[in-house]
Amino acid sequence: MVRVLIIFVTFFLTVFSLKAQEFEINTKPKTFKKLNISGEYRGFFQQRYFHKPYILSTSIDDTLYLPKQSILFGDATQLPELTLNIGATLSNNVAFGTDLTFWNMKQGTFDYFRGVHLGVNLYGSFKTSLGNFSLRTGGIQWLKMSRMTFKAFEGYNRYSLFTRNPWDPLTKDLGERYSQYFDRGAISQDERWGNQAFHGFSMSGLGLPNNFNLMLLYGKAQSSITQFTTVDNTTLQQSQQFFNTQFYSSLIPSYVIGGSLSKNISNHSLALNSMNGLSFNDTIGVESNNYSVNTISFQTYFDNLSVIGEIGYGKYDDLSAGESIAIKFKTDKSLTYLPFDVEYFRVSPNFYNNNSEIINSSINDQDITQVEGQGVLRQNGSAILGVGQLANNRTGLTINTEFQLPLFKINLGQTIAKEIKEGSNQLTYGRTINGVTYSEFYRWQYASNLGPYSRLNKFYRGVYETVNLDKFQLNNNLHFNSIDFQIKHHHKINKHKYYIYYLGNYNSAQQKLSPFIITDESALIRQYSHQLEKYFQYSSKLIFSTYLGYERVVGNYITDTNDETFMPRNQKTRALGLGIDYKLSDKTCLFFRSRYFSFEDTNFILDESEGLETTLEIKVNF
Amino acid sequence: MKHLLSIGIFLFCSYFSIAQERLKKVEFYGKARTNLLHQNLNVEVDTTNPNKANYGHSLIDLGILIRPSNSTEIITDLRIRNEHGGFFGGAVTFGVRRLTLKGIIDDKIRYNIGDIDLKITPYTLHNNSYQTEVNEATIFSNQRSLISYENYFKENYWRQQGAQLEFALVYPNSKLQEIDFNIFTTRHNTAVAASSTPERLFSGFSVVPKTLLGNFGIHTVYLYDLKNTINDIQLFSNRAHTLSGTLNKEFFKNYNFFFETGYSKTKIEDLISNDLNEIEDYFWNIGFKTQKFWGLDIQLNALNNGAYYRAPGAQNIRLNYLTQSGVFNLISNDQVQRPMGILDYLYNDVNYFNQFDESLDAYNPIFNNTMPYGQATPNRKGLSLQLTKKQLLEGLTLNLNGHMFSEIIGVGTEEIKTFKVYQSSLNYKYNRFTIKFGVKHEKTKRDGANFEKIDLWSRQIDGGLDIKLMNDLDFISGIKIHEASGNELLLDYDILNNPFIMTPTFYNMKQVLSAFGLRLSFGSHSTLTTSYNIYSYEDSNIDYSINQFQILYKLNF
Repeated sequence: MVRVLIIFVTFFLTVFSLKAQEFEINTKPKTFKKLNISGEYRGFFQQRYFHKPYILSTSIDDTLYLPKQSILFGDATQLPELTLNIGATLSNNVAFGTDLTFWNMKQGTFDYFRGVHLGVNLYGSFKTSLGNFSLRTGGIQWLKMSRMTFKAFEGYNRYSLFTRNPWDPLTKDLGERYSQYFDRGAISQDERWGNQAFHGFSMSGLGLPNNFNLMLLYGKAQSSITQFTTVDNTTLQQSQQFFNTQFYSSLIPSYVIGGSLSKNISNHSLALNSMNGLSFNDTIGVESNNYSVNTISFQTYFDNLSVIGEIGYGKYDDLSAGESIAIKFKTDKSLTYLPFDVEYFRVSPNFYNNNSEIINSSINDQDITQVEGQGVLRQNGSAILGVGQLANNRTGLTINTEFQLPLFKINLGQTIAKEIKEGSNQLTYGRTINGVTYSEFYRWQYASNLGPYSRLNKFYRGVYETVNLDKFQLNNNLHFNSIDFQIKHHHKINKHKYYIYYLGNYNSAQQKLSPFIITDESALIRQYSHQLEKYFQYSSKLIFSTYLGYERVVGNYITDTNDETFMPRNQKTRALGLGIDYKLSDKTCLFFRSRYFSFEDTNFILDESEGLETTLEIKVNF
Repeated sequence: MKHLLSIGIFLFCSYFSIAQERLKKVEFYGKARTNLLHQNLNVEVDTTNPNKANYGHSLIDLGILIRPSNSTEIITDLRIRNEHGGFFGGAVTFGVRRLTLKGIIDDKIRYNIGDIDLKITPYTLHNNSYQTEVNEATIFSNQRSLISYENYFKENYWRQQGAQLEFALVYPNSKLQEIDFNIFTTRHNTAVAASSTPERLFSGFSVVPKTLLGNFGIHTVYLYDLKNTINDIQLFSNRAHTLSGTLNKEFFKNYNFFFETGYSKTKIEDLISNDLNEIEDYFWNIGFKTQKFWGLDIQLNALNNGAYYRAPGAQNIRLNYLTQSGVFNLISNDQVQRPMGILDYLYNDVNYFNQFDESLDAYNPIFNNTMPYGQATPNRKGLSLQLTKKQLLEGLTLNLNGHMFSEIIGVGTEEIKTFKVYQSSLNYKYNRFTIKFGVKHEKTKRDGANFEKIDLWSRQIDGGLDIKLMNDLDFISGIKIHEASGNELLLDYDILNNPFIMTPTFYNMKQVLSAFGLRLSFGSHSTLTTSYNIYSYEDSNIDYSINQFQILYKLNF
């Protein structure tokens, strides 16, 4: 048959002319021509050398230490080596965006990991006679509604600049990061600052009748943990691509649904906000873990006074509803000589929303040892928090002010708070100095109960410690005091700019109300930290920096004591850093940081470490 | 020499793929979507299984069109998929959905290499349509388009991997106007020594002379194992040759006649026992179309498909009826496997075949018992009549079908089954309203002794109502009803088309899927649909229902 065919084809090909064919690709779809690609490269090298290695765990048979020396290329847990942001605007009202990330740990295998960071985002917008609507599906989307419903804590912009965040943007002027902090009180942040990560469907409506605006959310927040099986791209079969459920190890719902309806009235605004989380603790969807938060938020502006607040109630599972109030009065210095920012807050123990600024300190909502993969470990139990940070089961007052002296800018704040009802028998506090360094001891996991005394827990770029309290010696609810004190100084010597920043954080937790932090033994925990940093701009391309940090944490005898010394915590943390920022070329910078770090607890003698950590970061924006 | 043609095509095309100039132009296109589903299961007495599910994904298929020269294109589709809930790179996959080289040689011969879509005739190579819809509502067809896209179902084409040549000879000023040629070879599967599976290729050609009287075609498809690609134990081959034609109205006044006839031969060579098993059979299908009477489009045709006629590329079922969704897989405290239904077939993770194979796949008689493997279903003879009236009223189209078939030889008995199918569909557009309706009633009967008796009926109803609320906003709704009652012997065929297992099965079931929602259009190709579905299933063993909420955002660009 084949022979016949060949003869047949050959005959026709040689005797007759072939029909001219037009070159048209029948399947060719309508194309668009332009993709927008931007991104950044971040080369990261880190070397760590311990003079006193850190003890990971102890047992009767063995003590496990971190290696005395380690090096790391690439830092994908924080930000991949190469990020490409790809997007296209397809028409006036439709667009999409995604990103691709690649990284390699330079282990000689040439095996590049690839992934996405923010995932697949699809956008659409449409105009109606009712207003302009835009929607977004997929994610990650960085969004916020209100402090009590869906927002991340921004604080009062008191932080150290010496430790760079991976996502800190490059600025045209190398010194802008340090000058902005002095001039404006804050540095430029990327889109995630103050926002919460969201994955799913969101819609916003602007310019609705009577100056109303609308926002709707349906999807997953970071608190909506989804369990996936391991995704192996090398063995993935394309034929399975349609399977909706292919990577889920559990389909049990875990999602949030919420919305906000706001109205602008002259300079003022009013909004109704709602956020509801639904998930289940068991594998068959019976034991629900639901919460609901409904609030009214408002902003009113007068000549020299503004009032910003939010009032609402929240309900968690079968617990009775709990109230939440946060009202802030901001005065102009024309009214009160110094500008004041005074906030009263009261958050019921039953008010729960991990997607808000409010830390959960009263409801045991998860087994922290079970958090793995992409889960984000959050503090549980009573916590010593910074100035202005809200938590449930707490009421108090925060006062902030700032003023300028001839050579200095000074700002300070204090929070006085107390628990509304008796909390748990645990207290947590974050380590301020060297917190990022310690979290990198456990780079690839979010783990809890770590260290020689199983009291350290890791969260994203930080660690916190759990303190056990002797319940029998507690006779009152916990009270908290926090003070932040910051001095900023700037001067010029021969055209060279100097910036000197001091930041002090002082906290105490005790059983009685106090107008200031407690400095004696009656405090369960006293925590004082000092950070002094200096930036010297030698030229437009070169900045030198130094850093000095010191932290003391002292516990009393109501907190846990060591079995051998019979003494409570007595911790000292030290840090000494040197750094160089160097602009290699336009949009390409090199950042060098070397940090001596040490930690000791004289009463828990196994908990000590000392070493030197050096990092080199090359960042390119394009 | 036997496979010279296939090898020749490969080499020929490879030459042209190598001799490309450097890139001149790159364009992008693609599709993207977000699909979020929330489902609730209701079933009596179940305290052991999950009854809620929430999942979904977002993905982008980015097509890249590279034009190295004016007569060459390289097309590839890259996929990035992100599961719903996968934060910061969690549950992300990358894939390539397509890689094709297309071009034309000297403005005369088209070639395609790589992923290509092929179709010839309903008796040779033809991807048969879905069996679970009659005239589906927009709200469901919107979802079905996803299934088609994911499984490369484009009309009745098969997505294959190989090479294809197309060219035509012209005869100016002659009754023979031109002859079209279509030649292809694809790789059906690779050799796997562990499972004693030899390399298998699929080749074919089609020669279609176009004349003033009509078009005629000679078509051949050939599915065959290559020798010596493994330590061969068994070699399979199947050839189907057909002759088809359509005669213009000029030939028979007011009538378009059409026909296709041919035969097939299937061989299995057992190299261990030196046995050779062969089956061969023929078919014919003849009919006409006319518009002579009452403005009706009338089509009548008769067919006779031999019991052993085999053309694997034309005798397929898209849906794998044996598949089981992972969503609510087990229900009730007795841990019963949930019977799959029309909701699963549309929305859940059931399997569709995107490749044909040498055997006849399992079919489901309550969806299609008359012609489960398409027009080329073996062992069938009978008549079909189709009446279509366009513009019965302004905007109204009505279609009526009737089919009367029977088996040619009895299966497991000398008694033969008879099949009757009545089907009608209606489309009506009036102002802001669009109505779709379809119904199919099928009846199967076999007489004889008690063990031979078969009496089965099934009915599928599709209905839809769309209302244009605003320029870009539509209310869409639909309903699907499927019910069946009776008994049938479910057949499993061996590779030579012989039924070797007959499972007596009894049906008494009803399932209803209704849905309503809003569809927002962004331009001409992108839509956001939010819908709510209510689904119920009941049979003599178990009842359950599923409520579903879906957000589906589709972008085409």
